[in-house]
Amino acid sequence: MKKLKIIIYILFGALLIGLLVNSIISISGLLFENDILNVGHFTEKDVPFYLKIIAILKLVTLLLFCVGIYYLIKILKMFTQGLYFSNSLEELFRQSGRYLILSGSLGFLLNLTPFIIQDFKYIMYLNFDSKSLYIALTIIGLFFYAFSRIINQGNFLKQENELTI
Amino acid sequence: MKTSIKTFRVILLVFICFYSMAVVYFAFAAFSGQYFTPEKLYRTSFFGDLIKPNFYAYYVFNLLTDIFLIYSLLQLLKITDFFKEQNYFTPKIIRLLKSSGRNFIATALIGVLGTILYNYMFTEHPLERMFMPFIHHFMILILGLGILVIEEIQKRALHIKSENDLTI
Repeated sequence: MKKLKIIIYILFGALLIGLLVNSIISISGLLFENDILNVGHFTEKDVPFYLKIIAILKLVTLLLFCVGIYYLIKILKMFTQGLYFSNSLEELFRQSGRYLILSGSLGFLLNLTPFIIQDFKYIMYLNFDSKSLYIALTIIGLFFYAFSRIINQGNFLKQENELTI
Repeated sequence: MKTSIKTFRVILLVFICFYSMAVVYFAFAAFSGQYFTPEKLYRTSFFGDLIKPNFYAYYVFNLLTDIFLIYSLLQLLKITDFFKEQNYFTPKIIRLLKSSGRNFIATALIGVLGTILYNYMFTEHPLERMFMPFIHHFMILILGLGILVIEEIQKRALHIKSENDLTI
């Protein structure tokens, strides 16, 4: 468990750095028209306004994912304190699931926008080629949400156990 | 409880069906030459200096990612079968969670390899292009580890349950 905790901590740190760089690339590309990825479309004309809005929404998606993972880290902290079943653990799982569902669904909807507006030029800056991954994210969020109810059952078992002793 | 599990099952089933169909369709399209292949090969790899073999090699990685993802989702679906029968803590669930978590991690790692391969062969500026898709594989990797955390909780719960059953 300790090993898993350290791995998740390291990965979460790396993810935060990665998301920060990702956001900087997206913002500098779509809001300030700085072609870091060498796509080569910025010489034609300004980036459309709706793409700037989509870029901001994409950042919101990533932020929501980070909040979901932050709750997962909180869960890990509770485990290290030996609190395997409690009401707060149930709540943390529910919150983590909720944010992952929000992030996944918003990400999926944003992934569909290039097809609706038929503009694929800046797709690289929006990183919109992973619809399946966003659906998987929603599914895992739903799993966490459903699992929070199972934690409730575990909590009940634990209380029964303690009363018997 | 039943409603959330039911919702989860329906969404998961619909997704697995559509996703599997899409994977089969795109694999067929890719290997029959109808699928979009990159126009230029910037760097040669182990697979020669022709576009098609290199693209197929990349596509195999892509296909493996999809297969691992579908398999891990099927395992999550199997777990909900136990939940539906109100078997919340069993050794079988622990095994399924462990395997599902590992498959999610494999999905992420193979996805990273595929991204590296594609960008190395088919893009002029691979380093810049590689970075953006990495984030998504990273997200799946962390979620796979999250499922392994759930496995630990299940282990603990099973221990308490067996202790309870013995006391009775």
